[in-house]
Amino acid sequence: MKTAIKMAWRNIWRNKRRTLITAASIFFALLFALIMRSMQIGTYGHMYTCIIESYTGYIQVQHKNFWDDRTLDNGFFMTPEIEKQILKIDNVKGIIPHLETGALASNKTQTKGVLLLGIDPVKEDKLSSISKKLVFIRFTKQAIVRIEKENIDPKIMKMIRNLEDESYANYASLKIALEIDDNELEKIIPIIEKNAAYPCEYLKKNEKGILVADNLAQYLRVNVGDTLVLIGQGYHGVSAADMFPVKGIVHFPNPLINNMAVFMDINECQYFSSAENLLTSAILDLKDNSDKTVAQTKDQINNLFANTDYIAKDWKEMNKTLIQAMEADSQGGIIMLGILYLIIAFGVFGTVLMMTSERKREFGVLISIGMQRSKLAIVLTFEMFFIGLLGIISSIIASIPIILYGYNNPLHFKGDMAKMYEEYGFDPVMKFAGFGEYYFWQSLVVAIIVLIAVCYPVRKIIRLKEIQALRA
Amino acid sequence: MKVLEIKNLHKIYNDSAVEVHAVNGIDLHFEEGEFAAIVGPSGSGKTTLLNMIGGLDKPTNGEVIINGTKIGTLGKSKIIDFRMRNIGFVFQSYNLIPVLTAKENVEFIMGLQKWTKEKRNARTKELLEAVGLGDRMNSRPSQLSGGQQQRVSVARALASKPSFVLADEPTANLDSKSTSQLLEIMKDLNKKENITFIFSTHDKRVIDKARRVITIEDGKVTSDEIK
Repeated sequence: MKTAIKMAWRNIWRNKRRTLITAASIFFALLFALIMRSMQIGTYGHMYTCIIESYTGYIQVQHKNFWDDRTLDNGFFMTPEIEKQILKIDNVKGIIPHLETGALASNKTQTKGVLLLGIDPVKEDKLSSISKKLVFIRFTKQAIVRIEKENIDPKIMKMIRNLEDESYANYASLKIALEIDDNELEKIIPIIEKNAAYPCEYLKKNEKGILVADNLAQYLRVNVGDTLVLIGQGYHGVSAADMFPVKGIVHFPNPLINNMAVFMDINECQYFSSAENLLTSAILDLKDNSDKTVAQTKDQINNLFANTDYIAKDWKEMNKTLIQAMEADSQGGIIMLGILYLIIAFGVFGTVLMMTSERKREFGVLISIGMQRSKLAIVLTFEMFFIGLLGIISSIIASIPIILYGYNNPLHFKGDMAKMYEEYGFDPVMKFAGFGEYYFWQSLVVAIIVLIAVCYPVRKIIRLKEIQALRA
Repeated sequence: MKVLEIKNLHKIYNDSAVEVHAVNGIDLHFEEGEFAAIVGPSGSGKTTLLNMIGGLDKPTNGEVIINGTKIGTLGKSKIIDFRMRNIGFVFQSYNLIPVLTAKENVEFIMGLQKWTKEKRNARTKELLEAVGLGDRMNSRPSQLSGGQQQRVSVARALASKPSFVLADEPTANLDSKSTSQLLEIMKDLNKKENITFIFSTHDKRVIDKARRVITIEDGKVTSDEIK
């Protein structure tokens, strides 16, 4: 075996240029495959996280009819006993109550159907960090006029003019929108805070007030301090109507939520809907969010509630459309990967073909002097293995800085591209995935291609006639 | 002691419309320690005969018996193993393994036969010194002249102490100095190791050194002369 490895290693350097060209074809194709897959997986992951953290959570307990018929009449009462049973499950840290209903929201002449979410302000903040999504900078017309009067870089001012009516919940997204670096941001923060600060407040327990999602607030033309009229249907057909002061505007990365959500304290929401103690779902705060553990926890809860009206649903069941959209997109990516793999396959096969025909005589000599065909085949397999390994390892090494950069600096789309993403209900962000299983799978596919290519010379060796080979 | 016996050996090629009798009923035998040359004009059947003796080609009829084994009865894999243990090959164009050094080339067959490292080293050193290349052990074939490569090739053929060495036109690509050096070396080794050497050649210098000269014409032995 040692001799076979030694011969194989030396053989691949007999024709350095050919070996390097083959390894380069593997290198480039695998590098692109890794980057592409990282972008896809990262972007999907980001979208899943957005929807999970802003709305569904990883697991919800609901009434078994609620998901198909989302009315308050399909809500349930969370008794202390049920709560205790759920909390007994190892992976469950806490329960976050939701009361979800539809309502018409109206301000002056503007009216829109909204998703009204009754939440526990403290618990909800732990799940989805809503308080961090409160808008604190808004470039109203007046704010822009005020900023114009300040001493500000004309280039940045031009960008600010383009951001009329845009809101920001953090400086990171403002920095991206203005296309400026940290130093420039530092300089303009005092000016922005002085002229465009937006005074939002977070919800308090048992306090009458609402948070309105950013796009919805813009549509309804409401600001903090305004009052919004909500009209809906309460529990068992009771009318629900009231006026609520707007405490804050929240900006969600997920455009669907951003266009329709209104948040209020759950007790207020229950009172508004005449549904005291009623929940439509209880989101579970989990210790471990990995797919496997989530599935196990869901099964444990469903076993616990077998033969009752309660059911546990995981985020995959609750976001089927999103997952299907991602899977459809993923198929496109897989076709691209297929093309890249074809490039690898042709490169490797070309090398194998040349290597076999060039060395026919040599194979004949080796078999003549006593080397078994199987041993010769092993040498050739090692040769291709080394070339493959060279390409795979170098592409993995080259991909690390690119993927790390992409992971730490997600790409934020702007303009038409961003609008297109939002129309599909996606956050216009392209994030890279960190190192994960996909590295192994992509490398394995390439290794398999190399091993398949080896079949050709192995077959040739097995069928080789020494006499003919020696005359080659 | 008979190391090789050839009985009524025929080889007919049917590749074209006409049948070609490359070897036409040859009967020969070789004893241990012989230094024999098979001579004849081009197309007389020398190489075909050597190929059949070496188990590289199958006869149409007849038998090749090496140390009592009819090689025609051996399977594809067994014949390779049998060749490795019983026959040494020296080719016209040396055919050393280009990625291995002279030492590694000589060791190669011993490695396949799983000789211990110590035994391999000792035998390699002994042979390379015998062929005058004790100081070029770590040279690759590309760093050696044609004559030196052929000497390594002879050392490789003898490495595992085969029953006989088949050499197909071993001096055809060598100049006269290298030819006489190689012949002296082979003759010495033939004496020292008592291994049979069978050459196919039309080189007069080789024929002069041979102790037995077999002449073939049209696939038949026309003379078998022992000097």
